[in-house]
Amino acid sequence: MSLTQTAAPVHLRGYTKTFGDNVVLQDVDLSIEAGSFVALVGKSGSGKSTLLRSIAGIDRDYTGTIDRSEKVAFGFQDARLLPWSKVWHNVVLGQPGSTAELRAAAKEALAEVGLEGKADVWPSTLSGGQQQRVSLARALHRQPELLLLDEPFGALDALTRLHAQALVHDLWVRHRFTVVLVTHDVEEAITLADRIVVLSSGGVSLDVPVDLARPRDRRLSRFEDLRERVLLQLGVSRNEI
Amino acid sequence: MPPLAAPPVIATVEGVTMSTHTKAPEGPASRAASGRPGAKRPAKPGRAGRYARRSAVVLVLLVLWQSASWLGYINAATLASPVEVSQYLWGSLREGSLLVDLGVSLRRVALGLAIGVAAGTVLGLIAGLSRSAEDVVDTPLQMLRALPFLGLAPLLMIWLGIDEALKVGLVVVGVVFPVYLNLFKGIVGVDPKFYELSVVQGLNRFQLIRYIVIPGALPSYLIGLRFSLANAWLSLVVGEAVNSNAGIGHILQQGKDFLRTDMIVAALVIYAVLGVLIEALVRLIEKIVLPWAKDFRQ
Ligand SMILES: Nc1ncnc2c1ncn2[C@@H]1O[C@H](COP(=O)(O)OP(=O)(O)OP(=O)(O)O)[C@@H](O)[C@H]1O
Ligand SMILES: [Mg+2]
Repeated sequence: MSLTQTAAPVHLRGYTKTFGDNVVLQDVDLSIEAGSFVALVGKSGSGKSTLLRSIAGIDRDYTGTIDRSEKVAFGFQDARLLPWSKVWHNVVLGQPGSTAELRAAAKEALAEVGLEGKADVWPSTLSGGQQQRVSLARALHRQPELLLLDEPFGALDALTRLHAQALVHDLWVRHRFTVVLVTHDVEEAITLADRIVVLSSGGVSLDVPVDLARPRDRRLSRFEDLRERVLLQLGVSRNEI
Repeated sequence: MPPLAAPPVIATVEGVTMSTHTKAPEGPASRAASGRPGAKRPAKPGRAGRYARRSAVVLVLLVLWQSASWLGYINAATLASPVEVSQYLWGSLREGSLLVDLGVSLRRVALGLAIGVAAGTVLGLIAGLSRSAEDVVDTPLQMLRALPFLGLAPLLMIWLGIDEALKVGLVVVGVVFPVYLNLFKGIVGVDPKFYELSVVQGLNRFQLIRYIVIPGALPSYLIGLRFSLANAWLSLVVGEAVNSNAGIGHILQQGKDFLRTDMIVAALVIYAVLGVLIEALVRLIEKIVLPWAKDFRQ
């Protein structure tokens, strides 16, 4: 896999999304720097997935403009592997090339997520964490300049989640694409991201950089302070924290 | 570009299972149809005990039947004994007529299946892949499906005569509907999540159909195929009850004309055995084209 990838920025201007009478997000302006790692947090129903799906082009029914690179990859909460395709084929789904080339490329991408030995099995034989890693390999193989992740760790157990987070971090360090990660886990956001964007009541209610050295130490008081600040913004009361 | 017929359409075709057990006209044919076994799953390894028990039951029934015939409780004019039936089968096999009749019947089924499956597949693909085609194709077919297809027999006799074309034609109408309906249902029922995946993976329409729609619809298509085989068999029995000069139906008819219950039972046995074999064939096809589904079941 080439390591000479470039990162691309994202620009939203006047982004508005409604479902019938329900205005989910209104007049959102958001610029995401090339190569940055942005965490998008917010309460359930605040429009995180909606926004990410619009950026990805899954949902084009919005007003406003979104500028982003064509070289985009998306990671769903469920790994979303085709059950009728072998793992390697899932990884290269839709990519051009001969079978031999694609297989080799798939194996390379799988090696990056530690699953080179699983190229020829059916997805249903993998654990949830392994499936999620295959889905990451599929995203990687597209050599994205922008990686969009919608709660990719949401369905994983705590231990697997830590490994998966570390993996995403390593991949980002190695490939330097831009990442937009949707999560409801504030600690996860602070651990991984350069910047945290909080969505609530139809817009961006908080937009803070995470100025903490990596790897992030969750015991630092500045980590704690930031966590508290974001949680308060999310409507969690002080004694719940 | 609105990708494909999207999932909400499913609602209109819910519960697409064909009425395979449509009432056949009275006569030996209908008894053959309702007595058709083959729906039983082959015993799984580890269930050898149950399998043995089942075989034992069959054996006991055969012995009882045979004993009743020997002891004079069952008159051969009413129902031939297993031994008499076997003797007839053995005789016609050695003489060669059995294989000829078998060949004639199988040819009818094969021809009808080929035409019916091809037509059902083409119609299902067209309706499933294009919304405008769906409106044109689906409505009339959904209306026709309410009709027990064997009820078309009199009309087909007028259109096709009472010879070969009728027998093949009946198979065709029995096969088209389940293939069409289940393929269509399979296509519109493909999980919409995979359409989203196709967008983020940048699949073009051809790739979407090839990698997502067709494999996603395949399990349902095979269910349709299975129903269609069952229907093909019903059609054959009914079709061959009309003016048969060859085929398994011919044996039935002769049995009826000459009051030979051994021939009638023999013909029914052949229908049953072929039904079971075809069922096994479908399972084999499923194993081959749905290897991923097999892994799920283990
Ligand atoms: N297809 C849809 N039709 C109608 N309303 C929708 C649809 N999808 C989302 N919504 C509405 O849009 C709002 C935002 O939903 P969205 O899925 O973006 O929330 P979210 O922030 O991702 O929440 P979660 O953390 O639970 O995933 C919700 O009020 C939801 O009801
Ligand atoms: Mg969401």
